Amino acid sequence: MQHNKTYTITAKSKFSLGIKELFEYRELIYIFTWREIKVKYKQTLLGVLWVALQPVIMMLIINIFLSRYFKQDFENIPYYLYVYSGLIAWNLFASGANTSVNNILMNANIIKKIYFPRMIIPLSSILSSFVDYCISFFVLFLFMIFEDVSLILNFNPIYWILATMIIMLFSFSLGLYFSALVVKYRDFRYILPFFIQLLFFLSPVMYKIQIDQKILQDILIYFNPMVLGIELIRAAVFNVPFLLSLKQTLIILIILSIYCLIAVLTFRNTEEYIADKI
Amino acid sequence: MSAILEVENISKKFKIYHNKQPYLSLRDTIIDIIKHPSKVFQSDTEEFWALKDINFTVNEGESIGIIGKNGAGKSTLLKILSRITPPTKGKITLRGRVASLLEVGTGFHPELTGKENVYFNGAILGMKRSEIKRKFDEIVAFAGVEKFIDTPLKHYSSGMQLRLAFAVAAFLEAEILVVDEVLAVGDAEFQKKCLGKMEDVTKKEGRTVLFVSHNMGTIRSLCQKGLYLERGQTPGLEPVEKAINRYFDIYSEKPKKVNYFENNYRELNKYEAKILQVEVLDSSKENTKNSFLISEDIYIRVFYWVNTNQPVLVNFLILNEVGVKVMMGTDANSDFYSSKKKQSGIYCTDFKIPSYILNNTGYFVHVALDSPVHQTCYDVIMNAVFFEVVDPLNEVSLNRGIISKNYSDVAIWPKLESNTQKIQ
Repeated sequence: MQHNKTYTITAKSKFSLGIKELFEYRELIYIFTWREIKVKYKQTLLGVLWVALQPVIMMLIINIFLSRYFKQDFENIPYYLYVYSGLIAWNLFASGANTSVNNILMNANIIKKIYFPRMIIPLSSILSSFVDYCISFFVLFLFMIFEDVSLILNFNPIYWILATMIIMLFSFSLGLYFSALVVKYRDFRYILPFFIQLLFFLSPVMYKIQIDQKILQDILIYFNPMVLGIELIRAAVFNVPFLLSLKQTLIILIILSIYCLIAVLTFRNTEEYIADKI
Repeated sequence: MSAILEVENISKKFKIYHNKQPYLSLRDTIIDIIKHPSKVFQSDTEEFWALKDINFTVNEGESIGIIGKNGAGKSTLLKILSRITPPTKGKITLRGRVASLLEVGTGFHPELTGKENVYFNGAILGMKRSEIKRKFDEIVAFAGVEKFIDTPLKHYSSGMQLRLAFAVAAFLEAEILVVDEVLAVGDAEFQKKCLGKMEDVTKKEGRTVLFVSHNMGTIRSLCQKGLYLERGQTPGLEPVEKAINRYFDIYSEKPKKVNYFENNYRELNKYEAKILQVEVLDSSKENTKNSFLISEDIYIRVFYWVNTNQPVLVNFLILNEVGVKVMMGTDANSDFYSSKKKQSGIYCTDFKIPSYILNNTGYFVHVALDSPVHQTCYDVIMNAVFFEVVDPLNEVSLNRGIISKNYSDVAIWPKLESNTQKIQ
């Protein structure tokens, strides 16, 4: 028994970001994600089909009712594909953040009964949204093949991975931050979807960003990393010119890291007391 | 033997928010600030020490029973030990993995199959996937649900769910096992199986177990040492019998009489029916007491408030020390039940338990006000009172005979009419 690991429990644990512990619990991250996906696909009648259908329907609605307002130059990419690619990226972000907060509340009874790094819950929420995202991308490729097979050749996997990581990081930061808030104030559960809805219109999902910007729009680009995420996705999929400069990109990445750091610190601060408050 | 668990000066402070839930709503907070701007910096919270300076050391292979009344701090202690909530002060050193079974079946999902739930539940309890895979067949066999293992859990009976949950927990490989009241549910046969498994875990496998239960019979049979908690404090680890005696001592003090008439009506008007006070009385119906001779009649008196037109059924349930439900009493001929009387007010019902029915042991009384129409419960008080029935030797010899063994866990031992003849 001498080789047993020794744990110490004290009032205030040493401060850390908890990355090492997360790594020790990696199997639990996997199993939480797996459960999330399993349950989601079992509960809905159409299962996977529903996940694929949701952004398609959204895309159709935008295409039918809103396309006339956005008379921009979409580099010869059909508008519906342009919107759909943006919607997929948007859905990854929105559902990741929303399910993080909902899952913290829904798993309250597990949190109150068993110890594990609480960050696993938001993390696995994002990962399960990532699975939906991949399914939607598969549908996008079907559309592209249907439209014009040569479109596929433009796909740039490195951009795609980068874009996906940026979106997931932003989604994780927002979800984590609101998870910490919702433990204390339940209202944030309803504030978050509203906030995300607002952000939807400030992100280039239905339109293309214009580069000759005024200050206000500049600020919107810097503080909303989804602009970078969606632009990068489009550059990855359609090989359209990437509209942000390197300097702008770096500033957005720095701001995103700050968001993430604030979220992790806030969450770590609340984490200890989650079981008492939730 | 080396110390596997050292608890030093553990204290836990809670804040009580007056008239508030532990979590807040932003709306209420903002309204509060607008209404009482002067109060923003004063907190209307009260501090409450759930645990105060707890010290004990557990050696490898020992099993400890943690006992105490509801609210004594048992669950808080277990939560701190299993790292769910941090202590306010103090330090705990654990030399080994801790698995906590604060409630069996945590995280079970009705849509997932039995198999999927075993994997998920095992994982959150700290098992590696390879470990679950290795023990999977054993777990399923122990639960006895082989046939249904690929069926979604929602089609399981509650008994089956419970068996599966306990089975997962029973096969954990942690060095320190923290168990809270898991045996309080399930059918008798499965309870026996669980108890057997717990005995294996503690006695054969030599693992360290911390066990919380209100069931002194279980504690006595599973644990060597006891930790008695009262209002967050403890005299420390001691032999289990001594700790159990302390537990029963608190019930033998005279219960203080609550002046229910001081309850103002405005407060009571919020309730349709509410239990105000429960007493155990002797045959004079004047003195409350907690210790009765087997030859005495016992009266249970319930004071309650009624303010409804619906029928109200006053009832009680008596459990003995080992947690067996011994008897139930209902007041079916009362006017509330037939709903003839509809005036709101404070009422009192006396139940008589005749002498020579209960065995000589301790009994807990749960009291409830039920609504027979809506099939719901207006109010319930668990463990409202405790009393014990004693049978001094001469009484035994006079009325029931002396038996070589201690049968205090037998539910009832009435004086029966018996007839003996010589037939050959």
